Amino acid sequence: MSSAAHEFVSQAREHLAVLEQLFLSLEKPESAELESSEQVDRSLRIVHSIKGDAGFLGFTSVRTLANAIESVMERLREAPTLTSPQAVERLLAARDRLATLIDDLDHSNEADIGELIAQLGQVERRLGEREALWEVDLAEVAKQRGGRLAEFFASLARLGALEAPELDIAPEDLVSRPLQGPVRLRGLLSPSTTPEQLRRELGLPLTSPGGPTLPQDTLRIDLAAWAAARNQGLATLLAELAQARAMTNPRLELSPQDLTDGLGTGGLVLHGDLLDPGSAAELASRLRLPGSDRPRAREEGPRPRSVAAPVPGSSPSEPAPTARAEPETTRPRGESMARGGNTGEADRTSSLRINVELLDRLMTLTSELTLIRNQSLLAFDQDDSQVRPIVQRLDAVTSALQETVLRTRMQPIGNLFGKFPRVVRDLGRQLGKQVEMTIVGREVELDKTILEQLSDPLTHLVRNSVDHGIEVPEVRLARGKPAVGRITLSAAHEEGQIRIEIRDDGKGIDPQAVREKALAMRLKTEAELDRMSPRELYSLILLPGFSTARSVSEVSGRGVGMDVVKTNIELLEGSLTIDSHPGLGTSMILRMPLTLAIIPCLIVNVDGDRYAIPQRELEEAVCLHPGLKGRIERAFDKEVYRLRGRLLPIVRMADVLARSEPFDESSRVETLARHEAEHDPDRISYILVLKTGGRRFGLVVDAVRGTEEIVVKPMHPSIKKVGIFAGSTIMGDGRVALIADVAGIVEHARLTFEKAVVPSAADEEAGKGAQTHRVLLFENGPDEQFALPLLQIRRIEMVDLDRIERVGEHEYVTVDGVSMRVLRLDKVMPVSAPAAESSTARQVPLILPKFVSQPMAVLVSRIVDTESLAVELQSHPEHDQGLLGSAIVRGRMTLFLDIHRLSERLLGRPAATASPPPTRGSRSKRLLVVDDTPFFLEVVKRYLTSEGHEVETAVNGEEGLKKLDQAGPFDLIVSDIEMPVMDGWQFAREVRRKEIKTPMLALTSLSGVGYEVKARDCGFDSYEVKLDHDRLVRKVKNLLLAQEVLA
Amino acid sequence: MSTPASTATRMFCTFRLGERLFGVDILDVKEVTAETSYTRVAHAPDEVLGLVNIRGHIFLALDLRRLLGMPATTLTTESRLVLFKPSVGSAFGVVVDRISDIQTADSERIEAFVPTDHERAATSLGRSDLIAAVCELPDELLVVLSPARFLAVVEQKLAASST
Repeated sequence: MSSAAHEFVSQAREHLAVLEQLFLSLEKPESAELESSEQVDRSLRIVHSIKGDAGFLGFTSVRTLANAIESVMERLREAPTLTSPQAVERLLAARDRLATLIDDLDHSNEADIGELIAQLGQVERRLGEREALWEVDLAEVAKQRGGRLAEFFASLARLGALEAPELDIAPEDLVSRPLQGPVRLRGLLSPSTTPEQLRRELGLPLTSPGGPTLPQDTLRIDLAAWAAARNQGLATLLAELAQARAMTNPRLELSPQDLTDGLGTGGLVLHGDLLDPGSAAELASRLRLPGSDRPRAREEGPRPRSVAAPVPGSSPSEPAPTARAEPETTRPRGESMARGGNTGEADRTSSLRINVELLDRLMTLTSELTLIRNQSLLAFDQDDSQVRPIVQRLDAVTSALQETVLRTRMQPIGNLFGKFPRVVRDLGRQLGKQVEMTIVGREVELDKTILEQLSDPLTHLVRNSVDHGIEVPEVRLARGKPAVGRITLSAAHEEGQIRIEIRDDGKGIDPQAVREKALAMRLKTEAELDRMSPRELYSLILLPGFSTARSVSEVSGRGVGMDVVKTNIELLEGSLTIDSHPGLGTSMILRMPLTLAIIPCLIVNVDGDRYAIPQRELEEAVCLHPGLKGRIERAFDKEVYRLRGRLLPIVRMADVLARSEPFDESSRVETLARHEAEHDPDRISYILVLKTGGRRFGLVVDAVRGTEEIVVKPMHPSIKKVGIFAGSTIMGDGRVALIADVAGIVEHARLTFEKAVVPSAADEEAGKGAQTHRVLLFENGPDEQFALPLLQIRRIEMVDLDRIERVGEHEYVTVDGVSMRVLRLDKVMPVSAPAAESSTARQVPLILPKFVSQPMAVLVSRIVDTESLAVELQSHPEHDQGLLGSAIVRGRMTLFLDIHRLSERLLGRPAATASPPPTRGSRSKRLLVVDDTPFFLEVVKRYLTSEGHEVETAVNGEEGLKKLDQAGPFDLIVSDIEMPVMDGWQFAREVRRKEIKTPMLALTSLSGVGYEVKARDCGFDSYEVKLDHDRLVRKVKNLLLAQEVLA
Repeated sequence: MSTPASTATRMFCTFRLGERLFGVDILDVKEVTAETSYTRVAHAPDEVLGLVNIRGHIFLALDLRRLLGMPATTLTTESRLVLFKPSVGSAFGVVVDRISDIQTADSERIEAFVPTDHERAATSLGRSDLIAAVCELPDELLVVLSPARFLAVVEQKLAASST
């Protein structure tokens, strides 16, 4: 193919894309009138230019087809309001065919387009016949109806079949009465009505006498415009007209409502037939009509038709069909045409097609130039007054150049959005749905690369909206929605990103269906699903193989795609979220970077290397002065920083870089220990507060060097798998720096964001066959190691010793504005005291326990670590003094604290739960406790036996059922939820299925209203959070009491 | 090589690791540069020395010694980066201790390298597939490498560590 042909193809493709939009807009009723003629004109220009080029290059098929389209368009231009859906359908089909021909230009001449040409010819003829124009002689009607015209107008209005009605009346008839000449009502038939139909409806004889007689050449003058322009009375004009003797059969055109409201509210146009065809322009100038294009004589100006190459087989001098002479609508079309023409011209001269490779190369060269500039800045002696201005200038020009080059890559998103109305329309037809698409924010600019790669994912999402979102009209109407579904595609800038939203008002996504499907596919367990927010639930749709559509349609619903969509979007650094309101609609929200090519970054130093942190993810940078070091605290095995009262989990970039394996518990403990050992109080470091996926964390770096706009280069494909980097860039000194991938760092460091430790402990249980639980190990004196379950710890606080105040015999400390008793273990049980009153340590750790009746703090000397345990406790002689028992942990005898008993000992038994320990006289109750964690089993058992109950235990639901069979009946069953083999939900259902009426209490570390509801659904009578002694005891008491009353 | 053995010659870009002579087909080589300021890539396998900017393009520099199971490279003033053409693999090169001459050899002097089981075991991690052929030069042996397989080593190691 010659280069000219190449050029033609690429241009034609662009043209065809525009053409598609134009054709579609013809169909839209709301875009009617003012714009549509402009659109027809634009389409004509486009088709014409394709035709011309194709003819020149010898692609006859393309030219023939383009010519046929052009002919139809010309008809449409004469009477835009006649546009029928069928006509648009044919035009679109023809456009598509044209596109196929152009795609395979070399073989285009062999293609058979005869049928299509014939169809277009039909359309053209039909438009030419003007079947849609309807005219009736009011005299005839008056005769018919016995003069009751009002009735006639009323029924006409009721039928609504006539658009733009006009009365045609001779000027002299306005003054002379009775009427002399014919008065005609003329209007455009709505597409669904045929003239015969209308006449029948109105009770008129089917054959209209004579039919519309249309003059060959007409003159048309907008009298209002003329009068305004000339500032003269109409009499002058009429006189001049008469003098010119150029016109016969003058008629005034006015809207029917002017007959009742008085003249002047509607347009007033004078029509006439020109005696001498071709004299319109001359006449116009003689009459000094406003604007040279005012006289709408049909033969005015050279229209494209005169330049059009003749179609083979059709006579070049084919006379204008009579219909062409029909007056146009009153709107000032000339203006819009002229405007359209100008912009078209401007487009042609101010834009240039450039090969993208060339742009990329330009970009590389610019960065290279930037580099040279930087080097020269260093090389030149800044004090040299001759050189300095040159260098400064170089600096400025280079910066400007770089900016400009970058902008060359940006394109309006409208280029991409443009194709969707067609997609929606075609798909809607195919599925029998009525869909309307609104596009907002066409002008938003996006990097060309992103734009191109966004096309497929967006198409998929839009198709999904039509297919799965929008309901068929009957369903919509039944649900009280308009029959026409609406899809809004919008683009906007948001926080330095582009936000693209596809919103439909369809049926939405049914969360229940998603749940069921996820369960059926075994993607998630019920417990996991319970914990998910609706948005998280919807995001499951993005997993491979997931589709909630009940029937697979041709269009979508095969379950392939959404995961691909997600992957593609993520490749472009974007994200996809789904929001849905069942019954009301769904929004798919895409967030994309403006460009992949350049991003503002914070440049930081870690271990002597530079890294770029995208500012998109950066919220703030905190400088830690040596004195403020203490604000980094330890929360079990993690470090946290207290930022304005909020705890921020922190990760040290150096640790992340040093370990190529993702963090786990042991490595975390190890690094933490190292930090403690290498702690350098004088070292200043920085915490970058980063935000990813709506959550925040702190990244510790050695130094911050400043912000820079960096040109992003993709990561080398062979090391793409390194998840902590998103790409690379070349810095001002020519060295490569890596761009940190914030989400990747979070992933690598296995950061958990939960405020409480509970969920992570629960995950642990669910994940590992659920036998372990996590405890905090700490020391008080040198001799013993203590342990307390993390579930029972609210927080650990480092406090200065002098913040502990003595009041009488008691010690108090104030944390978060709450004053609480301080418990020293060596004061309440026979254990060793801290060595030599730790005079060196200014700060001591305080453990703040949960589930105690009054706030208290356990003062300890050292936090050792956290540990996951699966131990059986040995009972211990100091049982009553606040110990659950002991076990060997990490080779040391470790005492497990009974925080409940300790708080009782410290604060006395709160009145609310004070019940005499052995139950009053009544026989002791038999309880079954089911829990997979030996420790919890032990604790709960201990709690309940000390209330005087007899307790049997089981480690999972299945064993529980066995116990019920063998050792039953029980008075109460207490069960954990998350257990291996058979979980608590299942266990409760089984128990109820066996018609065992024993009250059941769910005891779990899951908290949330959802669980409570679910617990009841499964058959539990009540629900309680683990390890809250007081509440557990009270609940058990109440349940047993209720049982007694019922029995 | 499908060309007639009698007349065909091949040219090799040769270099040394320690005293041993290695070479790659000269048609695979884009350029040889003295640029050795690499940016370390954390978490990348040991074979990756880092990323280097060559006139606005970023190349991945591999440690050829490591690739061949030898002790790691120490950069000296004689160290050179041999960059390969895109047909060999995307934007990468290897660092060698010393660049040597361009050698021309008759095809018949070049013997495809088929490692024995013993040799396979000897070269660490089964990297013997990086060696394409052995060529007898007048006074020493030239080990001809297949650079097209270098990147795969890095990719395999990364894939192995991430699973």
